[in-house]
Amino acid sequence: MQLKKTVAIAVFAVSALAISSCSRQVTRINPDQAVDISGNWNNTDSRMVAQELTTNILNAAWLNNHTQQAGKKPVVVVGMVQNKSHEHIEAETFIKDLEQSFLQTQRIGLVQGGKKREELRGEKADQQTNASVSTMKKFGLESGADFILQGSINSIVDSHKRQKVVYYQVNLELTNIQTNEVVWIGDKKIAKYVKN
Amino acid sequence: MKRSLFLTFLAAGLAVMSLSARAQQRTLEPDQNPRARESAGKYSRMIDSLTSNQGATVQNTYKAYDWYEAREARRQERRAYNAVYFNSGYYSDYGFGSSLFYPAYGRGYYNNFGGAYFAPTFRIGGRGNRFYH
Repeated sequence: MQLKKTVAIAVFAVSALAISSCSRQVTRINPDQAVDISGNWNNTDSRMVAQELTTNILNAAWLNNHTQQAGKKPVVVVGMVQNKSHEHIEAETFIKDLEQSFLQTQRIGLVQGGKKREELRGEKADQQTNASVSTMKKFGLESGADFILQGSINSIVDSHKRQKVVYYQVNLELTNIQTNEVVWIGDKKIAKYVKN
Repeated sequence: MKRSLFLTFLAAGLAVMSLSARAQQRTLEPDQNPRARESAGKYSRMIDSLTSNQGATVQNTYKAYDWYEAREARRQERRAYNAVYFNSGYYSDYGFGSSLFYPAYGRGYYNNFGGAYFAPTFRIGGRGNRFYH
């Protein structure tokens, strides 16, 4: 009787262990929490870039210079970001944080560019034939941007045996569209030591 | 009569020319390049392709050499090769065939010494060469 009970407990324990080891475990974490798993680019890097560049661009001299000269806040369009690193990185994750800060502080105006602007113009064109005259939006009244924000992501990888140092450099630059004058350059450098 | 008509047309032509020149001067900003229209015309034809990547990330990534990953890749390749070879039917179960792990075996360097019984665990070219003498 005692033996049967022991065997049953053992079988139960083994099966429970087998089931739990096969099942996937998902735990929700705070997006602000830094969790480094592989050493690759991750959300923490994106957040650090966004924080650094936001602070930098909002406190740089170009903003006050333009406001004083033009008498109005600058309007910015986000241009192309080129990822020349060794990993697939989407710049939108930190560019959106940057754009959000422009609108929150209300010191910088923002206009759409690229495919989103094409979509807006398409909608406007559609309104010319389908919307009522009183609500139809006109062509040729868009806000022209004063500055364009462009960027690049570069990386250097140095590895030997199980050790690796990965260096990322994110550069953003703001250029006056009228004069091509670069008025601000910001960068964020991230270095990681990875040991396999 | 003919002369007065000619003079009238000449005057009208000069007036039109001077008006168009003034109009062109008016559209130019001070210090603006007088050939700015040429540039505007050139880039106006390429607007779509030049602005399509605005707000997007263009991926121009490169493959970085990673010693650890490269070793893992080599191992995977070797295992895949061996798996294919030993399951292909060419491999007869004596000696080492042409395994990538013992690349010299089965290619005329090793005579098997009568089969798998003497299958060595040494590398050809190392101390194992003494077996040949």
